[in-house]
Amino acid sequence: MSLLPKTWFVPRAPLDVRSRYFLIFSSFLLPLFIWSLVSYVPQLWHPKIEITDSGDAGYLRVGMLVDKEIFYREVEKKESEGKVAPEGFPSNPVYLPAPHEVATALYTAFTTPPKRSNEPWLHESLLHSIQVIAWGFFWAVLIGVPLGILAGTYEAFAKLIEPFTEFFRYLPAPAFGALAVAILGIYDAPKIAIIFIGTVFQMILIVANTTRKLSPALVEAALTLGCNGASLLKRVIVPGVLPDLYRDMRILLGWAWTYLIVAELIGTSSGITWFITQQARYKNFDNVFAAILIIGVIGLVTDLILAWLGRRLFPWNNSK
Amino acid sequence: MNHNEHNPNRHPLADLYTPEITARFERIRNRPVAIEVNQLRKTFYHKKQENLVLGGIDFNAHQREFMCVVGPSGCGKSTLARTIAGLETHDSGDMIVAGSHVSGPGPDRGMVFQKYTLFPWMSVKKNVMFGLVQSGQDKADAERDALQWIDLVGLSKYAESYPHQLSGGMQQRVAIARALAAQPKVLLMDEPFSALDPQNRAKMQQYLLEIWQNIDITILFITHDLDEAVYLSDRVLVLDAHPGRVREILEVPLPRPRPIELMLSDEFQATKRYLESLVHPPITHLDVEEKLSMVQMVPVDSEVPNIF
Ligand SMILES: Nc1ncnc2c1ncn2[C@@H]1O[C@H](COP(=O)(O)OP(=O)(O)OP(=O)(O)O)[C@@H](O)[C@H]1O
Ligand SMILES: [Mg+2]
Repeated sequence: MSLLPKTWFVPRAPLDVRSRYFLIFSSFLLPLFIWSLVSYVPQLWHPKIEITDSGDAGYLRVGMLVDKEIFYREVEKKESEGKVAPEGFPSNPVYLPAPHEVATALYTAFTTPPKRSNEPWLHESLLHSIQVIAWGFFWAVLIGVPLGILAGTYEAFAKLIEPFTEFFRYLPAPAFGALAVAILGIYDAPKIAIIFIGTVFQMILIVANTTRKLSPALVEAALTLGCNGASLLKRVIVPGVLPDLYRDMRILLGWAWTYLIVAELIGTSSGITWFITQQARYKNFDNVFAAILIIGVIGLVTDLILAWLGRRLFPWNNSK
Repeated sequence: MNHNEHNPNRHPLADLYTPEITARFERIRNRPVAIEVNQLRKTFYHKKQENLVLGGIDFNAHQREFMCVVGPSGCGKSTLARTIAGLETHDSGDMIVAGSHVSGPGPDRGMVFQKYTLFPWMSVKKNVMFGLVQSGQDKADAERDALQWIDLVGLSKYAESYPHQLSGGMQQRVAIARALAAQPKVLLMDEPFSALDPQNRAKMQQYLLEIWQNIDITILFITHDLDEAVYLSDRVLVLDAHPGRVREILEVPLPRPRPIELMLSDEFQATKRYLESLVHPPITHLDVEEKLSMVQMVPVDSEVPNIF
C-alpha cells in the first residue's frame, strides 16, 4: 500500500490537490484506457475477422465481419483444396467501435446532413430533447416543490399528500405512455408528461424530507420572534431549505434525463433518441456512441455549472 | 422568608439580608408582575408512558427582575421556559405574561436558546432585523435599530458577516441582540452560555447585566451553573425533579451593582453553598447501583502499577 499516498485511505480526510486532480483525471481515463485496450490490442477479445481479400471464398466480401471460427475453417478448407485462402485481420463486432472512430463521429455527426431533407440535423434533435426535458422538469418543479414544502412543514399536508405519492411513484412512468398519447396527442405533450410523471412524485417526497430536515430550532427561534404562518414559510422555511432543495433538483434533473429516452420513443419518435435508433438501424454505431457521449457531456456540464452557481447563490452554506 | 433571629425555622442565610437588601426586595415586590405562572402542569407522553415533568409550578416574576431557574438535570427547566415561550403545550394551569394569557409563541416573549439558532442565510444585521421587519417596521428604520443593537453587543464590525464566520460567543451575542430588538416584555434564556469557555462566559454575563440594567426587560434565565445563578439573579427559582416543582424561591442577599470580585466574598460563597445544598443534596455514600463494577485491569508488572 505504500505505493499509494496514505491520505487515500484515511476515512473522510481531504485529499491533497495533486491526488485530487490525478484521481478525477483517472476516473475518466481508466474506462477510456480499458476501451482502448480492447479496441487496439488484437489479442484482446476481437472475436471477428474483417475481410481484406476474399480469395476464392466467393461469399466473403471485402470489409465484411465474420466469426473467427468460420474464417479459419474457410482458410483451412481453401488451403486444403489448393485454392487462394481469404485474408483478414482480427476485429471487434460492429457494435463496439474504437475510440478514434467515435471521436471522428463526434465531429462528423454534426456535419453530416440528415438522410432525408425533412429529418432534423443532430443539433436540432439535441435541442428538441433539451426542450422536452426542460418543460417536463419545469412542470414537475412547479407542482412538486410547493407540495413537498407544504408536506414537509405541515403534518396535515404530509398525511394528505404523501401516502398517494408513495403509491404512485412505484407505478412505472413509461406505463403511462399509451395513455399519455391517447390524451395528449402524438407530439411533444405526452413526452413532457412522461418526464413530469417520472420526476414529480419522487420530487414531492424528496422535497418533503429535505424540508423536514430543517433544524426545528430555527423554526422555534422564528416563532418567538413573532413569525408564523405564511410568513414563516416565506422567511424561514423556504430560504432555510433552499441550498438543499437546489442540490435535490440537481439530482432529480439527472433523473429526468433517464426518462427522456422512454419519453421520446412514444408517439412520434423524436429528439436524440430518434437519432440513436436511426443510426443503430444503419449500423452506424460510432454515431450511436457519439450521441450517448454527448448526452453524458451535456448532463455533466449542466451539473458542474449548477454546482458552481450553487456556491455563488448560497455563500453561507458550507456543507458543499 | 423569615429573618427573625429567634425563630427556630430561621432561614440559613438570614444574616446576610442587610436592611438595604431587604428594602430592595420590598421595592421589587411592589413592581407590577411581568410573569405569572399558576399551577402549571405538563406531561410528556412517550410510547403510552406518561412523564409528568412539571407538577404544578407557581411563581411570579416582577417587572425588570432578573430571575434564574436552577434544579437537577432533567427537572424540567427547559420545558418550563419553552412552555412559557408557547413552544410547548401544557395540561393545565395558566401563564400570564405582561397582562395577557399565553397561548402559543409570540413576540412579547423573546427566547435565546442553548444551541446557536441564528438564520445561517442572513447576515448578522439581517438576523437582528428579523423581528423588526416581522412587526411591520419599515426597512430603513429596522436597519437603524438593528445596527444600534449590534453596536450594543459590541459587534459593529461584523454587521455584514454571516453567522458561520462568528465564534460561538459572538453568535450568542447576536442571538441576544436579535431577541431584544423585537422588544419583548420578557426574555427567556435557556442555558445560553453553557457552550462557552469560562472566560467568555464571565464576559457574557457582564454584557447581559449591562444590557438588562439599561432596558425595560424581565429575564428568566435557566442555568445549571450556580455561580452564574447567584451572580446574575435578583431571585433564584429552585426546582425539584420528578415531577418538577418549586422547591424555593431564593432572594439573593447581594447588593447591586455587583463587581466581579463579589464572587470571592463570603456572602456570595454562602449563598452558593446554600443553593448547592438545595439542588444537589449532599452525597453521603455512592448508590450501590451507581458504583462501577471495575476490577484492576493493569498488569501487575506494568511500569506504572498504580496512580498514587
Ligand atoms: N419533547 C419531549 N418529549 C418527551 N419527553 C421530553 C421532551 N422534552 C423533554 N422531555 C422530558 O422532560 C424531562 C425534562 O426535560 P427538560 O429538558 O425540561 O429538563 P432540564 O431541566 O432542562 O434538563 P437539563 O438541565 O439537562 O437541561 C426529561 O425527563 C425529558 O426526558
Ligand atoms: Mg435543559
